[in-house]
Amino acid sequence: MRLHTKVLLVVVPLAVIPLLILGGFAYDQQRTTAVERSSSQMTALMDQMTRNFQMHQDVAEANVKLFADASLVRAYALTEDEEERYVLMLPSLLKLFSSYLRAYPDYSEIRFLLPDGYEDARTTSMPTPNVTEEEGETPFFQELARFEGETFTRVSTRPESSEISLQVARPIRLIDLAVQDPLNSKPTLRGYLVVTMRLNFMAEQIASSRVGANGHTLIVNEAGKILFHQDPSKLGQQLPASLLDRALKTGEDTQLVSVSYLDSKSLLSARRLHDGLLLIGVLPEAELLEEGGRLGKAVAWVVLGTVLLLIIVLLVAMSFLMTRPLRHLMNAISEIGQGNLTPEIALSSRDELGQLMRSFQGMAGNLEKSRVKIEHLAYHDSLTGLPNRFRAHETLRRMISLARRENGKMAVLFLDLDNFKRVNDTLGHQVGDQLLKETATRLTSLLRAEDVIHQEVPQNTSGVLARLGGDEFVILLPKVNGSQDAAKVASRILDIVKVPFHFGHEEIYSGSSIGVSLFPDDGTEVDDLIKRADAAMYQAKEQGRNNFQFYSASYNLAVLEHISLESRLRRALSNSELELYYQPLVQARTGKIVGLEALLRWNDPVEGVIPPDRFIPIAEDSGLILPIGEWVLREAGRQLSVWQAAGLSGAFVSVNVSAIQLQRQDLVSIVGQVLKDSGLSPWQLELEITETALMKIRPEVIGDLDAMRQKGVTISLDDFGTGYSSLSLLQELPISKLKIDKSFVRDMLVDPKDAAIVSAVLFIAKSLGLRSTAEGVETLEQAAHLAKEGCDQLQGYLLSRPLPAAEMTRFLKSRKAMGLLKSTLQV
Amino acid sequence: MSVSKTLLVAFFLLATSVVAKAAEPKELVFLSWPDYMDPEILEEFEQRTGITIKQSYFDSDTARGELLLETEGKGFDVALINGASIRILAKRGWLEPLDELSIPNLKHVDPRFRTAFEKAEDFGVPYFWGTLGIVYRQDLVPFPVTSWMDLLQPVKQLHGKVSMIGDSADMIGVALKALGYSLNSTAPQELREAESLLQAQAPAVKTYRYISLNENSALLTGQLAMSMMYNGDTRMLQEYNENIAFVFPKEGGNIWIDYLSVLSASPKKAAAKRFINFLNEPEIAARLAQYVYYATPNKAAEALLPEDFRNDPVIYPSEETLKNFETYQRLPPRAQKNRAAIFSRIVY
Repeated sequence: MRLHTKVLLVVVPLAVIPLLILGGFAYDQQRTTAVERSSSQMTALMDQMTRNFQMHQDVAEANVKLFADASLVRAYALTEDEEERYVLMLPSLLKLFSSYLRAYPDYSEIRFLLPDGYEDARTTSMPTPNVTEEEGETPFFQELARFEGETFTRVSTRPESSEISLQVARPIRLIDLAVQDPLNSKPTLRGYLVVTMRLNFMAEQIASSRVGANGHTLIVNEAGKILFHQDPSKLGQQLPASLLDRALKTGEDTQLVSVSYLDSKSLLSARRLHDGLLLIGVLPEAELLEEGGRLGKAVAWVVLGTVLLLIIVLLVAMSFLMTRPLRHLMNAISEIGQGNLTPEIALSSRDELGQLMRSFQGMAGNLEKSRVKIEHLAYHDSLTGLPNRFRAHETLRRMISLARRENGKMAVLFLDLDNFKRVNDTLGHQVGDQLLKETATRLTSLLRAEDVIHQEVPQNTSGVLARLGGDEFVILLPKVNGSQDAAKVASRILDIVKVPFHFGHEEIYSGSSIGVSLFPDDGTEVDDLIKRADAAMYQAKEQGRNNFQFYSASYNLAVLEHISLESRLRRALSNSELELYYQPLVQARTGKIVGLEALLRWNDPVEGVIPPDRFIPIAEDSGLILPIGEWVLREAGRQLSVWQAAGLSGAFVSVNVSAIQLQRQDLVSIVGQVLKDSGLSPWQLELEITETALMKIRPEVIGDLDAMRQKGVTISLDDFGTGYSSLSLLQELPISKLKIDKSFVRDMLVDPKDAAIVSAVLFIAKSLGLRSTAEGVETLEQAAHLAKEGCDQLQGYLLSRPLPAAEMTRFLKSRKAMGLLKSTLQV
Repeated sequence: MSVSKTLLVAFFLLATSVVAKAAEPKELVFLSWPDYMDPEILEEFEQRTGITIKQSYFDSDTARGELLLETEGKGFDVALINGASIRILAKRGWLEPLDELSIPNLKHVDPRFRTAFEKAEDFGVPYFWGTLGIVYRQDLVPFPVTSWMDLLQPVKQLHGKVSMIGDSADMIGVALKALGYSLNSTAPQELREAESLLQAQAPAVKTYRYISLNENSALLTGQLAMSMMYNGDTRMLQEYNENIAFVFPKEGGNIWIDYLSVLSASPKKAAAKRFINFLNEPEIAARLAQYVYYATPNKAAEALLPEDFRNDPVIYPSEETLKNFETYQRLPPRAQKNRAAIFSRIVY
């Protein structure tokens, strides 16, 4: 069922039922009112007619008395002699009667009857023949003769006419003063004065008596014969006996009774006007019902009209208020179903429907946001927010097709951070992530800046940065004029990535290698361009990092294409491209060379010397650190034994050990084997471990270190102060020596903070019974200060820069240093 | 008080009583028809007796009856009564018996007239006798009138211009006469016919009052063209207009006698009798007859009348003329009643 129908089924009865009930009440009320009104009208009419009749009767009775008291009448009555009466008096009497009749048109006849019923005098208003003069035997006179009272009134029909009339008679009783004593004699009956009153006035009233359309009155005699009726054809008809019976019964009651009159239901009211005269009021019920019926019809029409109006108004209102908005909503929903998450919903209403619409719109909006987010997630890198590999490929594809159409050129830059792995491993993934993020930020701002610079270039030609994964980024440069444009961007990238990154206290130096492929020269397909840029990137890495290479340029170096720094390092180990440099450590008090720190150098045949901070991380990453570390230990041991055999040194050699070595190598046995092979005493071998490395190692490794120390090998904590070792840890660790980082020593004399740290470290070392070495000592003032503070050993450019073994041999031989030191100390 | 003074007072009282007695019958009320008395004769009576006659009038016997009935016969001293009514009024006790002792001049009166009606001899003195006929304007009625029917069934142009005498006996009488019946008829059918005739005539009747006889008479002014009239009255009208004509209808009519009576209720009966007696002095009666143009029953007076008066066919109709004329007879009471009813139905 449709919404319209349902609402109509609910609302229409709500409106119609009260209306019907109301209508019913009104109908009933109306009917009752109509009945009451008509009844009261009828009652009033009947009462009025009854009163009127009574009034006429009263007047007639009074008049008869008046007439009878006239002196002429009295004289006439007293005159017993007929001749006297008839000749002398009758004309006068008749004249008197005539004048009465003229004065009272209702009276049709005045008679004087003798006590025996003889009609002695008679005057009529109309010339009507007299039937008889001897009335002694008539029922009327019989009754009159028996009457003892003053005035005798009867309804009867005079034999002269068929008309019903009221006869008012007054017996005339007089004392004849001529022969009777006025006091003691009884008045003698002399005759009767009879006035006949026509009831025409009633007929007129009957004719004009109407209640409503058909309510009327009639007068019947005792036998039920209709005497007066508005319809002359009804006159003389007989009222049904049952009806007459009812009328007679209700005669005294003013209430209306319901009867069947002339085959129709009627309300009947009756009044007894006089003996033998019954006034009946008839009120057809149909007429009363008709009035109610009209109301009923009106109610029916109103109901019908209301229903129609309701339906129309509801349909229109619902269409405006509900159906149309619902259809809008439905359309919107189906639009959403079809994928349009931001459908237009034109709604302004504040009702629930409007709220629904708004929340629906909100929901759709959220859905759209989620979709955008999901899409973003699908196409973007979650860490940097940059487009991901997928998007990069897609974008590139689009760019290619664009470039194809326009015969344009474009460049793909493949970027890889140079030491990301190292950062990740040494500083943790958080820092690595930060590095990636910061890199992305820098690159993005750079590309934005590029856009600003090349404002003449259309918007859709701006560069696109994407992260392919790990530390690999790709930069798509549409609309380049040539390799120069790409090179310009690449060199700028190199510059900004080279700038150190600062994360908290960490300062990270990074760099990037960029490979560049060009469309259409290097390829016309997405995969080709990216692969070739990747290859060019490796080329750049091999070129010593922090540079960029074009794919096409690297074609000549195809053989090197697959050679990474790692493989070169591996090769360097076997090719003896690795070399140890040595830097002396002197006794602060005496200036005597007490030790030599072995420092690894890589002499790459192409790049030249590669600093350890560039290749050590790679070595650690690749595991090459293990053979390299072992080689360093053996080489340092061998060299020291050579110098010892030559009598050049009674010092120890200090070797840096990586945390990976400690973890993965049986360092204890290697150290033992080195000592055995070189013939050195254990004290002559010192292992330097950085504070950060030491903190990362597992507890069992600590045991290994302890074992070596027990053997006599010195364990030195390198770069002390850069980590966060606690004093308790220091106490527990198998450490014999602290090396103060060169960064503190460098500014010690100018920065009180550094000076305080140096003093504190030295104090701690002393407290814990540890030896101390200061690194990076470059001036005599520093040396003097450190000596004064109680530092055991000094190391730095003040004494010597790290020297290759051959040069160190010469240095040791010259002893020059010794002397120099001596003189210095003496100052 | 002295004897002489006492005598003086007695004389004075006597003198005043004599004067008072002489002044007592100063005025008599005479109930009569209008124009039925010569004023000069009344003056003469007054000169001779000091008694003033004040006349009171009626215009029909019926009207006189009503008048007397209203007062029960009181208030009048002398009245003119038609012969048929004397018996009834006397029976009623309203009339004073009269005889030759009280009215010495009765000796001049023809005894036939005195006894023409019952009780007339005892209670009345004949005044004049006359008949009933039709008076009309010859110039207004385009044909010679001969019959009562000319009056009772008037031609269209006379409608509203005829009058009748409002007396039950006369009116019903002429109707009966017109129909060929006796005017004393008691036959109901004849009376019904008479009534019908009168009823039919009624719309054309201008009045049922007796017309006046002076110069203002409706007959002279032309308001009326035809009427019932007592014969002598015509002559009075003819004094003013020669077009006045009188006819004795061929069907006949009534012969009447008027009587002078003294009312028993009168306190001046002596004066009244004296007046009647005066009127019957032959010379007076003769003058009076000539004044009213009626035939006098006074034989002595008749002898004094001029020849042409005595030969006037109107005043003294011939035997031939009076062939169908009747006097009113005594009728049964109920017949009288019937006539009264008929009369009332027509007039009232």
